[in-house]
Amino acid sequence: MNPTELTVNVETGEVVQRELTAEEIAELENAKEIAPE
Amino acid sequence: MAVKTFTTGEVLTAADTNTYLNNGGWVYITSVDLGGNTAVNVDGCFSATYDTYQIVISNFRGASAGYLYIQTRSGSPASTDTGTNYVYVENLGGQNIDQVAFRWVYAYNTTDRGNAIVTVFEPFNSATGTAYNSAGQMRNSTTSFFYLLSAGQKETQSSDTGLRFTHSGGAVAMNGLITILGQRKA
Repeated sequence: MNPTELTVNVETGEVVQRELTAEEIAELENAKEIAPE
Repeated sequence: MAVKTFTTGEVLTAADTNTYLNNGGWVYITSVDLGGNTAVNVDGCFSATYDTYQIVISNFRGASAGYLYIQTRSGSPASTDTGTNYVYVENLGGQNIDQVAFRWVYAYNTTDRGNAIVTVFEPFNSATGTAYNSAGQMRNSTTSFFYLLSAGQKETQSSDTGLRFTHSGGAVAMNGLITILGQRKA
């Protein structure tokens, strides 16, 4: 299963889970930082 | 205002609850399990009902070492502010400007958890940049432990209605519980 995004709307109670697109995964990878020692 | 103390047999009136319960304390808004997702959006948790919020992050863990990234969401439909609009200071160090997210807690791996409690100030106020103070504790190796004190704010003003949680390591599965409370206003 690909990485997923969960969206919860507190006002409506709607809960949506979907797989991230390749573009969205690339955005997350581009934003990552080096973990501290 | 001190909470009234009742004695055995004394009647609890509507006036008592209106005075001592309705006008004080933290009110539960929602709780969201990160549940192994790579990104979690919580929309509609900030509104005009409260000015100040408390966010409790418990048992945060990641599939790799890294911080929990926090970004604000606004608009309808809600979208995430991914710009370099986040500023924070950690452990009394120098300020980190032009960041793409806040970071409140860290986890070393899937079992060494991090926990934090965060106070968020006026996220829904369109005239202010969402601000916070946070305190967390976490491991940063199998043998060492650290404490993360952090404060920051958005450098842009917006009426934020939600938060987005991701991992500083990129597309990394996360676990843990996010609980959001609002401070009741008199």
